[in-house]
Amino acid sequence: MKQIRNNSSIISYDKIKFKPMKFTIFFSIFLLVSLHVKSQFSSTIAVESGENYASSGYYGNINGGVSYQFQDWQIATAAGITLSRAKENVLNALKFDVLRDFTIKEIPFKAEVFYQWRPYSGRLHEHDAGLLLHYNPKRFELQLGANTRIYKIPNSYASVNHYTEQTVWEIFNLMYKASYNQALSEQFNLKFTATNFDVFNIQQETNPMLIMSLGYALLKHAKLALDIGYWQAGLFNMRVNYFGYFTRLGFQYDF
Amino acid sequence: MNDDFDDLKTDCMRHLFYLMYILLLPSCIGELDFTGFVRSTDRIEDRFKISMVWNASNPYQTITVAGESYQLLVAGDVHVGTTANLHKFVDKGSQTDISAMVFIGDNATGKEEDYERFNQTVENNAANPFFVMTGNHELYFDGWKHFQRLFGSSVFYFSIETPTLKDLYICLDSGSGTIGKSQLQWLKNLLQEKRAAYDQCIIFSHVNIFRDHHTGSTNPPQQEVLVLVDLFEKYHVNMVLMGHDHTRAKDVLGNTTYLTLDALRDGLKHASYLQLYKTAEGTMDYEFVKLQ
Repeated sequence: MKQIRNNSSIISYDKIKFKPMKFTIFFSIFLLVSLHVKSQFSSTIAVESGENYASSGYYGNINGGVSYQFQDWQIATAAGITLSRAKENVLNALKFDVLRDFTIKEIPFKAEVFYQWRPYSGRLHEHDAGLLLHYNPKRFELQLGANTRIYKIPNSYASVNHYTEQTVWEIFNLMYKASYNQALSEQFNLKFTATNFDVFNIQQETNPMLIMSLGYALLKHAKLALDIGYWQAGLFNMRVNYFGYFTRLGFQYDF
Repeated sequence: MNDDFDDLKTDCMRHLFYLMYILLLPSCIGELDFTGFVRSTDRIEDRFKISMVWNASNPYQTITVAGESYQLLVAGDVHVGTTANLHKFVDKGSQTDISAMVFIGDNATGKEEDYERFNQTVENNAANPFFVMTGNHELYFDGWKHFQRLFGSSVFYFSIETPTLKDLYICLDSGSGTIGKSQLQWLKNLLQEKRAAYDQCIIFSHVNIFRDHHTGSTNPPQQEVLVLVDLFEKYHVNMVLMGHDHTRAKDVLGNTTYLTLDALRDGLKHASYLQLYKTAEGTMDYEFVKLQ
């Protein structure tokens, strides 16, 4: 048995050994199924920059994700990194989604469940899980759902400090997104969105944000999007105050 | 299907318009200032600057106590108007065993006459030091100018010194639903430079950090919540005391206890205030005191 030795512990290498035979079998089955049913890969990458009252100056985010559509099912995963003076960890978040298309009285809907992990620092992590319902009538895109959130002090930090209370659980938060699309030409599209969530950021339901997006169909399978977002604070306290803004350039390619 | 949807869309737009009209029409009637949905005349960055100017000529207070133990009283959401519960609180806070009183926001409606009523009740009856903070209601009806005239600063700290130790009490202005860029930097600098010299560190904020139940009252944006919670853990803040939600709640995360106070407003069945103790052993303890 090989061993990796570091300063304080011995890790069994067998436990993390890559198993090529199993991988090859699974991947072959996956490819075989993919070639014989209606399926589609999609990938996105986005570069975001902005400033808000909590970011200690400008920040930069790079977000990427892939999704795979298999008949009525879709699985997606995304990850993001942050470059910011306010944040110790470069890794911003990891997210996993499962979506399913269905109809009710011939009206198409999509249901989504997700989980995301945001390691804010060595002292604080955020875990979110949620459920969303998508409905896209004509020029609108509507999403409604809820999430639950846990703030957690990581075990390693808690054990060093002998903490017994490591979590705070916010049980229920409404999630909503309402977008209106206006086609400007065959290639350009303008979209206005009011929502309380965006990429990895899920605000409390009383903290909505506004996003304006300009989409451009670059090729048959490739799209560009330029987003400009505005954050406010205190709206439902009836004392609205500027909080921040962002700009984001995204690229999507469907295989 | 399409026609139905167009009708629905038209109905929605019409009802949205009516709703906005109903909300904005009585914008200066009663205790709520609905214009704050669309505009604020008193931004947090401006209030912070004005507060720092006032602080420069009015040094932060130090309260010295004779023994190792002492008590503070903390009240949230008095909402003057009426002053029956406020009188009871100030009477209790003026006893000789109380070192100071803290009002953690939504003390008045924002209207000048209510500010004056609150100030007269406290000023004329308080026999011990008191500290007044802003909530969102203080800012209604352009109320900040009255707050500033009467109390000077909305961002400050004070300390309490026992014969052997001293404790740090930091009062934040979160009335706008965010503490803002400059106040956040001030808080970071304060904790970095001073925290190590103090035994206990207590932070007061009107707006709640966590969302303990489904409510319409608004927390700071999520980015700010993460920064603050991480900061409180990093600098071993012992307690964060808040109001705003009117319903008591307790969360403990690592070293920090987060307490939301009941409202002290007249007419509420569960009106209470917080009695905060520094024990002779050097720990913090507390008790919610219900008003009859």
